[in-house]
Amino acid sequence: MSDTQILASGSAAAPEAYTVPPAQEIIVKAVSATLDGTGASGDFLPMLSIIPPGGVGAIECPMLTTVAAGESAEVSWFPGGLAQFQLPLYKDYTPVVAFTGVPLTDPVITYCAAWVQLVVNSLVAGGAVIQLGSDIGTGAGPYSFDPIPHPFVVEGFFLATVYTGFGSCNLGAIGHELPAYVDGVGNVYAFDGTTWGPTTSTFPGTWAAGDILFNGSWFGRLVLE
Amino acid sequence: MPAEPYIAPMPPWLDLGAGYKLQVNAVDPTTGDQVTGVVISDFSIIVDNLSGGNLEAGPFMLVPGPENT
Repeated sequence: MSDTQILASGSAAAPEAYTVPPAQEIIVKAVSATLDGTGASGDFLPMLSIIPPGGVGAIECPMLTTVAAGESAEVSWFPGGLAQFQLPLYKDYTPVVAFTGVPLTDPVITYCAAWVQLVVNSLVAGGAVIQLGSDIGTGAGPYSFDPIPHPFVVEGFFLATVYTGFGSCNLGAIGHELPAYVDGVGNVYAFDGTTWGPTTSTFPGTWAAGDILFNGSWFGRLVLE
Repeated sequence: MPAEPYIAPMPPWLDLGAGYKLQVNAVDPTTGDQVTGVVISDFSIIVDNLSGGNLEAGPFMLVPGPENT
């Protein structure tokens, strides 16, 4: 069956909602709306909420760019519409996971042997967990995953881990408490829940073999051309 | 001033039955509270209508648009 559009007529003050009628079952492909902030009381994030019939456990899908009061936004929500997670297209670069250090030339792992891996629970792979790559090294990063064949597009839930696999080590500064990030050319970003920006964390002290120092996770898309 | 176009994420394969609500709101970036004074228009939902029935019985006036051909 072809897709169908459900369109609300006119305009109204936020929030606006559509409730699936009785005896209906729909697969939502995309949602769009125009939010006129001319009279807004402050800056705002357009947000789509999918609210179960009981009203509990809503899935919140905010746009990740703030709209200034007085301005308007025409927003399209759709799977894969991950503007802030969408990575630029890179050619001939090895994807890199960096956990901290801005820029990447800063020490990431010092005086340590560590295992770094990037895993994705891929929507593309039908939900299977696949390991994109791993690297073992000492000294400062970055640690890279090579080879990942190009072109390469994968979307899903990513998990990055730093693991001390070989003896104890002393980490002067490593890790990140926020969702990790992937970049093909050395730009490092972290997501603090609203915006992307550099953030570092430190894990002082000596860490024993087998310690997992950092798990970073995020939902997004990795695109390499 | 024309509205700026944006894209935003939503989960894939949203297979929703009766009673599920799709709500668009404007929230404060810091507190999550609703921001007043924002007006919503052109609220559109593209669906695969599995049940094939009438979709006009929403909480506000809904006009099913033309189907893709």
